[in-house]
Amino acid sequence: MNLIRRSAARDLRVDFFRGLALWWIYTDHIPGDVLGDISLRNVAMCDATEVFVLLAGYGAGLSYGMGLGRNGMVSTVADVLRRAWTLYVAHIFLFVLFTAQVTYSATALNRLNYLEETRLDVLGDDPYRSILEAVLLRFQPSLLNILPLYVVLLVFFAATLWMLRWPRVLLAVSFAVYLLVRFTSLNFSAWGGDGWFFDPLAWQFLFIIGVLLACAPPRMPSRLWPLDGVAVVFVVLGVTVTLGIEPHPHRLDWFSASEVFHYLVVEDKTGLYPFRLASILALTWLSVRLIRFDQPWLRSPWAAPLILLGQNSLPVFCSGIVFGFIARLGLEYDDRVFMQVAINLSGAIGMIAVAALAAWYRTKGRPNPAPARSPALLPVSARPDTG
Amino acid sequence: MPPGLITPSATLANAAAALASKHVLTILALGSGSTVGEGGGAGGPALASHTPERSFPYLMLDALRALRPSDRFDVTVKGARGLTADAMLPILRRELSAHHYDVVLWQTGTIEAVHGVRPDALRAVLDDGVEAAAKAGADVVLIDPQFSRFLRANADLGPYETVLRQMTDTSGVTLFPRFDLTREWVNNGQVDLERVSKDQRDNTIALLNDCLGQALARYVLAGAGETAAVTPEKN
Repeated sequence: MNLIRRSAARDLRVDFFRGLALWWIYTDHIPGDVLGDISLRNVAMCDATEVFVLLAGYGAGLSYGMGLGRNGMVSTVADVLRRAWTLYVAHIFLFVLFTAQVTYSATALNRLNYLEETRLDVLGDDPYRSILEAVLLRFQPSLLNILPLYVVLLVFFAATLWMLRWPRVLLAVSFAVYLLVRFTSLNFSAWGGDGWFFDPLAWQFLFIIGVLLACAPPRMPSRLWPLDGVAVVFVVLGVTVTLGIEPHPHRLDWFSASEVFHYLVVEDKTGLYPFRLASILALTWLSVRLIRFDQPWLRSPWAAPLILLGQNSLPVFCSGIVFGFIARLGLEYDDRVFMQVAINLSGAIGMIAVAALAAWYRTKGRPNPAPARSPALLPVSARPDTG
Repeated sequence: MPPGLITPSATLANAAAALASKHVLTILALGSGSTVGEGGGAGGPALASHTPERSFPYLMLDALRALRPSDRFDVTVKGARGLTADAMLPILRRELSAHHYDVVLWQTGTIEAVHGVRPDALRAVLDDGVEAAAKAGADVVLIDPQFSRFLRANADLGPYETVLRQMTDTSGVTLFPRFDLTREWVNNGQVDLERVSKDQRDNTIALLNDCLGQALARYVLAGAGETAAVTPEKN
C-alpha cells in the first residue's frame, strides 16, 4: 500500500515544503530546542508560518479552485466551508486537549508560568467567559492561533471564490485589504483588547497569492534574471538583518535614528510586515527556480517522510502541538544532548506515525489507483486535498 | 553582576537632583506580572500566587535603603498581570497627575510580544508616556522582558527590544537591560527559572527578584551620579 499520494500532475515540492514547515513549527515552538536555532526563522525575515499559509492557499487553490468549472460555484463553496468547519472542530478539540495538558502540568509541576505564557491563566480567572470566547475564536492561547487563522482564511476564500474568474481582480481586492491593514492596523477583535495574533485581514493576501499560483499561474516572464536578482537581494537582506543586525543592534547605532533602520528591524508578524511578505515570495521564487518539478530526489525515500507530513497537515499540526509540549517538559527536566536527540527523534517519529495513520485511513478499502500516465488521467482535483 | 549592564546610558537627572537637594527619591514602578508580584502566573483562585512584597521593585527598595541608609526612598507599584503598555498609559497619567515621582520604572514589552501588538504601536504609546513623565519632571527607566526560552521560541521579541532600545534616543529615558542580565544569569547557571526542580522553584523566584532588585538599585543610584559610593557586590 502506498501512503504517499503521487500522480504525474501532483507537485511534490509543495508537499515537501509543507512538511518541512510543519516540522519547523514543531521545533521552533519548543523552548530550548537546539533545532529551533537552525530553522528558517534564523536566516530569513519570514518563518514557517508564511510557508504554511502560502502553501495552504496553494493547496486550497488546487483542491477547490480547479474543480470550480466542473462542480459549480455552490458545490465548491460548500466544500470550502465544510473544510473550514473541519478545521474549526479540530481547533476546538486541540484547545481542550492542550488546555488539559498544560493546566495539569502547571499544577502538578508547580510551574504556574506555563499558564501565563500560554495565556491559559485567564481560564482560571474567568472560566465561563473564556470557554465562550474560545468557541468564538476570540480567545486564542499561544500556539493555538494558526488554526483560527486558517479557518478564517478558508471562509474568506469561500467568499471570494466567484472572483477566481478574474484573477487580477481577486489579487487587487486582496491587496487592497492588505494595504488597508498596513495603514490602519485593522484586525479581528480578540478577547482582552488586542487583535488576533495573526491578523487574518493581512494574512489573506499571502493565502490568496497561494490560491492564484495554483489556479491562475502567471506566465513566466521572458527574461528571468531580473526576478532572480530581486529575489536574491531580498534573501541576502533577510540573512543580513537576521544574523547580522538583530542580535547586535548596537552595530547600527550610527544610524539608529534613521527611518530605514526602523523599517528594517521593527517588523510586525501580526500584520504580515511587508518584508516578511517579500521574504517568503523571494524564497518561493528561488525554490521554484532551483528545484524542478520532476527532481528525482522528491521521489526518493529521503524526502518521503516530509512529503507524508505535508500531505496530512491537519493531524500532523495538531499532534505536533501536543508532542511539542511533552518535549518541552523533557527539556526542562534535562536539556543535554541525549534529551535533545530524544525529543526531536520521538517528535519526528510521532508526527510521521500520525501522518501514516491518517494516510492509511484515507486509502484503506480503496483499490490502488493505476499508475497515472498523464495528468489528464488523474486530475489532481479528483478529490479535495484535505491534507 | 556585569557593571556595564547596571550603569545607565545617561544620567537620571531628576533622580540626581532629588537625591542631592532633598535626600529623598520617589519612584513609581509600573508593569505587568513580574512588577506587581503576580510572577509565575496566577491561575485563578485555586492557583493564585499573589506575592507583591516579593516582587523586584520592593526588593529594589530594600536594596536602596541598605545601600543609602541616610536617604529616604519610596516606591509605589502599579499595574497588573497581562497589561500592555497601552493599558498602563492611563495609570501612568493618573499617577503623574496625583503625585510627584522622580523616577518612573516602566516594565513592558513582554505582553506586547505575546499578543503580537504592532511594534510601532508600542513605540507611539511609549512616546506618549515618556512625554507625560518629562512634563511631570520624572526620569523614565524602561525595563525590557525577562530572558525566557519560551518567549524566544514563541514570540518575536526582537522588534519590541528594538523599540525599547530606540526609546533611549529620547532624553530622560534609559533602558534597564533585564533581558541581557537575566540571560547572563541563565548562561552562568546562576538563576534559571526554566530549569529548576519543583521544590526549588519558589526559592529561585525569590532569588531572581532579589538579584533584579539589587541590580536595579545600583542602576538607579549610578544614574543619579552616585557611582563612586556604590561598592559592586558579587552575585
